[in-house]
Amino acid sequence: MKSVMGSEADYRTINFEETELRLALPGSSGSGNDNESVKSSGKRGFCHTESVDLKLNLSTATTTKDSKTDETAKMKEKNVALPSNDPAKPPAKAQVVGWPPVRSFRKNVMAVQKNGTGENEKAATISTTAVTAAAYVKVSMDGAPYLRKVDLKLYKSYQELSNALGKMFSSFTIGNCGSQGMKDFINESKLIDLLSGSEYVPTYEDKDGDWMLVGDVPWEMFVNSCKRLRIMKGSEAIGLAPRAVEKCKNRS
Amino acid sequence: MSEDDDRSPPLDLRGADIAESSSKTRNCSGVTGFVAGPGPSTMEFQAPYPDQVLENVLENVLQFLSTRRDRNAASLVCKSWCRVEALTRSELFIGNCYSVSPQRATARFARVQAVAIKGRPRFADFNLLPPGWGAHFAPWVIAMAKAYPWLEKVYLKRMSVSNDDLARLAESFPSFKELVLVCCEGFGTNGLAAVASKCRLLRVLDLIESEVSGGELDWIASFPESGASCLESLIFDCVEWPINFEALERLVVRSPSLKKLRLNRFVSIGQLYRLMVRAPQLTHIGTGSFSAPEGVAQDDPEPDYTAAFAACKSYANINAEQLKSVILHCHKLQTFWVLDSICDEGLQAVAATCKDLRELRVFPIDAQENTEGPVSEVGLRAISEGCRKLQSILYFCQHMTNEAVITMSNNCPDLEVFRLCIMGRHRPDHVTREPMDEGFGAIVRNCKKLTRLAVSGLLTDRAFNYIGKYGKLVRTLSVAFAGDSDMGLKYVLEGCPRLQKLEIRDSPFGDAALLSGLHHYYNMRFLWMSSCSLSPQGCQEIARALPRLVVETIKDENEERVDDTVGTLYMYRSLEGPRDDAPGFVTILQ
Repeated sequence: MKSVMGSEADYRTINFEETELRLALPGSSGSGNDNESVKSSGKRGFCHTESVDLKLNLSTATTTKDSKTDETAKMKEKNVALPSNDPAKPPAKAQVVGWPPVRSFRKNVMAVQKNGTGENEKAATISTTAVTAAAYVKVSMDGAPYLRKVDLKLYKSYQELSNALGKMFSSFTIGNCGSQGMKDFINESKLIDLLSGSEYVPTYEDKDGDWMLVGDVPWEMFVNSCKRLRIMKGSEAIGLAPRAVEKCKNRS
Repeated sequence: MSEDDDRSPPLDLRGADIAESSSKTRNCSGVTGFVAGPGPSTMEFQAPYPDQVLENVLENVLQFLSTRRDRNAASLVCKSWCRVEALTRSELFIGNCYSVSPQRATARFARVQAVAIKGRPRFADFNLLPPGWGAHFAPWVIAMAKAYPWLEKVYLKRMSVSNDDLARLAESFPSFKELVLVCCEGFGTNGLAAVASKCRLLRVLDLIESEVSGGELDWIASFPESGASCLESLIFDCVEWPINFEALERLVVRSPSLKKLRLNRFVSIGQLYRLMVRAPQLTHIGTGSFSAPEGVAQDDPEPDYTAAFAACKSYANINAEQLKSVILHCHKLQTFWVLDSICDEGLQAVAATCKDLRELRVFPIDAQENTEGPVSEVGLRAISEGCRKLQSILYFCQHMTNEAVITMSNNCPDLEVFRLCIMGRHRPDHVTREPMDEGFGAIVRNCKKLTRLAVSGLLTDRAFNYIGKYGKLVRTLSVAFAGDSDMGLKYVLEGCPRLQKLEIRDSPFGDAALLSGLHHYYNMRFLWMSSCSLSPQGCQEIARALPRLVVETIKDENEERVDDTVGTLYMYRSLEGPRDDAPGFVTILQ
């Protein structure tokens, strides 16, 4: 599955649009690591007793700068064109990398222009840091046959990422990340409470190749060290918490 | 298809490259033909003399050949002509850096003063090629440092250039005058500092849409502080780092020949104004840092001050009203690059005034697939009616009609470049709901000079049938999300004898179509096919059938391929065989 599309630079200038995608999940193949190599054979073991209709209504919070648009700014995600949407064409691959064919340099320039950074030095400095390469990471969810891609640079906090992921995989909940952030997971007992159901847990692979719980480290550090995201079934994530906390302690 | 900076470099880049041969039956070894050697033995004692005269005459005559197409033709006459042509060629164009090695090129052409090298395939600009693919400048600069110490000009496009490369360049060529880097990456401001400080005769330093990393050296301040500078053109709008404005101002003041100056967005309007006051000789000025309604026109070549100020390549977000007040003065406007924020109305204003317009590019402010957009067939039709001399157009829109495209094909017979990007994939004519076949068909049929075409929207094989049938001069073709079956590609490969560059993505063309082009691939610079229906076996067959073709399959790490199809095929003719600098994600089939 190919990457999602989006302007690569300044997240504040993303013009969002609502997209609706319906995926019928036949079920997972069991072990989360097989997500990438799952073939769409249709015959798969069922983890859940029923197939999950994953309705992905993609939207995120309005960005602060994009005051022109009346509608709530939404994250634009493009995915597989399903037969139900376009019966005339076979389902296209989810390939929107590089489409429309506008160079990222030019997108950056236009993004800056849209923002009207003008002569403001501060804005220029902010734009400098914003106009950097996107940090696309794969996001897999146990049980989903398709991976997604997100640009971590589009978000300013775990909260925003959580919202986006939540919308992306709507049956996935991060529990009460809403108000307290994901740091709650450091509390092991709470984690176990959450995990004892079939809650999903966001984890990520860091630069060292270790699988960590999302939320332990400061956001910036996370963006720089996260190589891929995996939304694990709660039952598999239990073992992570102690290691994650250890690692965080070692770092700080 | 896409927006592409096609501004012509200092050298003549039209025409064939050095490795091209025009006959289908020739192999790639370059030179065939008989040798005008000595005659029968009775004439032997005279034999060297006529040859020498011939060569001297030839050398003098061939000096006048400037275009590389002419020179390539001359070099194919016979060995003697080939030799003399090689000695007198001063501008070397390498269309694909892997088609020939630096050693071979420098061995053949001994007296080169200007070099142009192109590297990565164009779709790399849209993230379709993983980073690290190749196209390194290093082996070229090392070879040229030895072979061409008198080198004056270097033009690079889509190459990987390091700071070391730039330092070596600065140190190796005492007469160096012009450096133009288009869509390059791998270097930073430290490399620029080396060039600025060591190249005392530097006239042109143009950085166009390149990725420049930071560094601790102040490159603007690295230009020699004393004496007049020879600088004629300084373009650095793509440099995403603040610059030393005082040093820039001093530089501009001591550069009496400076005509073109394009600044980056870290120069404010006030600073820009200061520069313009200090340098009234500027004809082209640009900046990326303001939102005032300055125009985005590039005037060509009017030194009029008002027009000069309007001559910026900055993509200011201006609307139709703002544009109108400026554009109605620009009667002589020939080249116009603009954002679609001016809407159809703005394009109508352009059409009403700019009767001499030759090149138009309309870029999308919002580069996403939407249902509505600010420009449409209305703007295109208006342009076609007002700007009859149009030669080149790049037009991004959300939807289009066949009627407007047909109208343009009839109104603008001089069109050489037609690139229409309907951003909605597979989108039909939004009025008739039919495919866009007829529109593009009309373009290839009516625009007899068409050499470059980019197609979009809903297209069936019929569109490709038209291209194959009528697009006899087409050299570059870009296809995305189009076609129904192998026939589409077959039509093109079998019908377009001049086709040199073919880039296709996300179209249902498979092995059978690929095989139908075997007769032609040696005549092409490259073929790119990504996310099509090719199998490794099919690509392997091509590699086996054509030993002088380098067939690369590229696995995109972003991809999750469940079946066996090839992610990306990139193949090109080469005299050198498989390259030795291919990264892990490239497989070269043999």
